[in-house]
Amino acid sequence: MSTRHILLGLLAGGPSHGYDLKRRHDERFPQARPLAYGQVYTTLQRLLRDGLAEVDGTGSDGGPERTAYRSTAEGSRELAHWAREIAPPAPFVTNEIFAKVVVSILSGGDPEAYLRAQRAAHMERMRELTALKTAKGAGLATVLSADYALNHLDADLRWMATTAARLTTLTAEVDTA
Amino acid sequence: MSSLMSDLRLAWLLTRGSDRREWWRVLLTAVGATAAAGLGLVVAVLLPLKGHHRVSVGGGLLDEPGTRIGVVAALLLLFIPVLGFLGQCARVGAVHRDRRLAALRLAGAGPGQTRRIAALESGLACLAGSAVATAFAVPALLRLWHSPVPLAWAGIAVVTVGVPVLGAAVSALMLRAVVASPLGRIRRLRPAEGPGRLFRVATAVLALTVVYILTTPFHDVPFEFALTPLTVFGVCLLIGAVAVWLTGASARQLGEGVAARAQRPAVLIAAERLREDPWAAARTHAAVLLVTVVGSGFMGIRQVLLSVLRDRADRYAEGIGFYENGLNLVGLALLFALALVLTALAVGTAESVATRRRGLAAQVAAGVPYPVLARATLLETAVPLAPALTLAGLGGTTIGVWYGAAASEHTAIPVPYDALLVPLGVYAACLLAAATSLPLLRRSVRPGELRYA
Amino acid sequence: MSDNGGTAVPLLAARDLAKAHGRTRALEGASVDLAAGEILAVTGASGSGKSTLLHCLAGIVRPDEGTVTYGGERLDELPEKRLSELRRTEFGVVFQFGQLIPELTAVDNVGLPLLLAGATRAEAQQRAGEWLERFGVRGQAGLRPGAMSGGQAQRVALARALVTGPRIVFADEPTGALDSLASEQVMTALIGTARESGTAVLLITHDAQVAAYADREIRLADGTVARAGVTA
Repeated sequence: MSTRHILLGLLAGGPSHGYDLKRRHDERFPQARPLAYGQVYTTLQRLLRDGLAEVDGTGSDGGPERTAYRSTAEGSRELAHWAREIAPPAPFVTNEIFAKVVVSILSGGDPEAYLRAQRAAHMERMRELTALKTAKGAGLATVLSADYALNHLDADLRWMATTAARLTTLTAEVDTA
Repeated sequence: MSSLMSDLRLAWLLTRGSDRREWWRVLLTAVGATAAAGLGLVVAVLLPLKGHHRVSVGGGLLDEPGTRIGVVAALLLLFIPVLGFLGQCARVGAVHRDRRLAALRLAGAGPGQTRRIAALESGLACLAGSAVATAFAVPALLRLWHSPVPLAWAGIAVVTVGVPVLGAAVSALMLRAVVASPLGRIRRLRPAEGPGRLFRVATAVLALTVVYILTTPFHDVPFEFALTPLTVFGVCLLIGAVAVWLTGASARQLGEGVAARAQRPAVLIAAERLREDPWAAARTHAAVLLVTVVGSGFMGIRQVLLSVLRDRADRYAEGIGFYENGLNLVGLALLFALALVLTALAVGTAESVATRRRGLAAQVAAGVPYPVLARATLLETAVPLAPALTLAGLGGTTIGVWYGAAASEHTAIPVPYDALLVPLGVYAACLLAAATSLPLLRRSVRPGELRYA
Repeated sequence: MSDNGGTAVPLLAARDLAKAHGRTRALEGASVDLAAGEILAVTGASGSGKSTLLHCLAGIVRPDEGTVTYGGERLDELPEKRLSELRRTEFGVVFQFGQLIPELTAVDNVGLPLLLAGATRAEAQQRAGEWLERFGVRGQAGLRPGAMSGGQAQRVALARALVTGPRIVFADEPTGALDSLASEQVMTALIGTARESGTAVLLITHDAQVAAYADREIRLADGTVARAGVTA
């Protein structure tokens, strides 16, 4: 899961202190491993270096905990691009898909369009896997691994369908947080 | 011809694999066809007779042309309960049959082909019935009448062939809606509508005719004993039709009203079912009401007639025995009609229980006690019948009173209270008939019914 | 909104179909193309009009508006007799349940379209037997549908749909009542046969794993085709 993009997404709502970013990340993505402060600051430094974020202002102390960061225009573009991009269909991508949906909502993107495109990519992969599985002479191992992937992709699809239907409620929730 | 053969083969294949309910329908249809054919055969034999004959059966009623026509008319009237019976039988296992026809259509059978197959199924059953009737009637006829006229034989042939053909034609007609769509029609849509336009038009025509007859003065014969059979026939039919109408129209109101006030669960269930499908009761009870009207009218007339006869026994050509005999025969015919009609009621109740099998089993599984369901089933028959039978009984009594009023110009006539016994007796009999479906109900609510077949 | 799967003239084409059930509009401006030999999946939520679409395309019901063209003929204008003939010879239909005749044995059910077309009982049974063998339900030939498992019954239904060598098979939730392994058996049988004989398949399903057997997918929402999915 791309931490830099998630941080960019969190910054899309407005400038934030590093401490805040860590707290909000852990709240929003409870399934993911909690972010360590070190990782937050390293990522923020890289964002600064790449011009995707900049310093917003410092508190009176001037230490890292008191520095506020905000996203640059370049950062918003990079974020929008990433949020639209399809995650390669494979088992365990759900977190990434979830992240993209949340980030899309935070940054005012188009989560429905993303979900549609992601769904089409998933279906395409499922068709490939089914063809593999039903091909003449497919060995048991092939069938089993194809089944495994198919079931997980199916689970993703079901989640995406429900999410698409819930999007209005989700938007309200995300915005108020 | 080969297509007919393949249709026949298919019809046979389908019948062979039927489950028990379908066999019941075939059997009941055959029984009804036997009754219809029997009546038809007797009429066919009587009609060609001209003038005076000495007939050993019939208590002298068949000797004179005048009374003979009356007997023929009465036999024709008996066709009505027989038709009602056949109509009821056609509904046994109807849902299942409709689904089968729809499946045939889905598999690619054309509508004409499907109609042929369905008509063959019922036509064959009717053929069995009429064959049985003929097999009994012909030897009996030959014993009584050593050389029947050719016209009688022609009539017999017409009836024997006509009953199955008519049966096939009617079933093809009734099934045309089902045959039309490969998805099958949801049967509930039609019953909720009520009597069709045909019924309404027929009732209106009947009412007008009766009013016309009643208001036209009879020129030749003083009106006292000249109540032509036609008038009585017309009045009976009219009262029957009105009673059916009232049953259906009031059933929904009755259902709603009772449902709103019901305290006991059985009453509530019965009332809601009534509200849901008010015309189902009307259809089932139509023949019962007709028989009640005729029956109570008959009892009233009988009471008046017998008392008049006893008063003035010397004034009549035949002895009282002749008239009593005649009246008793009519009574017998009415009992036969009542038996048919009660059987039809029993069949109808059993069929409605069978159709709701899965729903009933689910209710019992959910905790509704069996006695509640049993009471509800009985109430479903009892509640709509009560007002209708009252009306029918009053109508018949009115006929008797009217007859008595016409007769009382010359003698004092007792009020024909006998007539009032009829609706009471019929009501009790109907409840008993409905109760015969209770064992089926008990079998239907076993949890095994919940399994998806 | 229409959806075009290829450049050749489609075998079955529907344009702007509309159909109402009572007051509910089940289909609203739906257009579909099916090419010869193509396997098309139609997905969508319950109530989106998938079954109605299939019924209109197979000539089982007439749409209120719109046209359905099959091999040059206007399906929505044909008389019932011709439609029945089509169902006997060129279309095959498989539903979720309910289309086998419970009174007939499996082999008679499969042979039914042949019997209806006038074949002798022996011929029909022989060809039916071959199809039952192919789908692995030969052992159930003498059983009635009530005595078989769901998966076996569906394979018998499939055999019946395929016995006349149709050009299009219409399948409405063929695996809806089955578990995953039975589903796989039915789908493998259907798709395998279809590909071998070049039969087109219109498949309705709400199960993505079943839809994955198709070449192409269209989604229905509120009676109309939603934006087209990616083609294979």
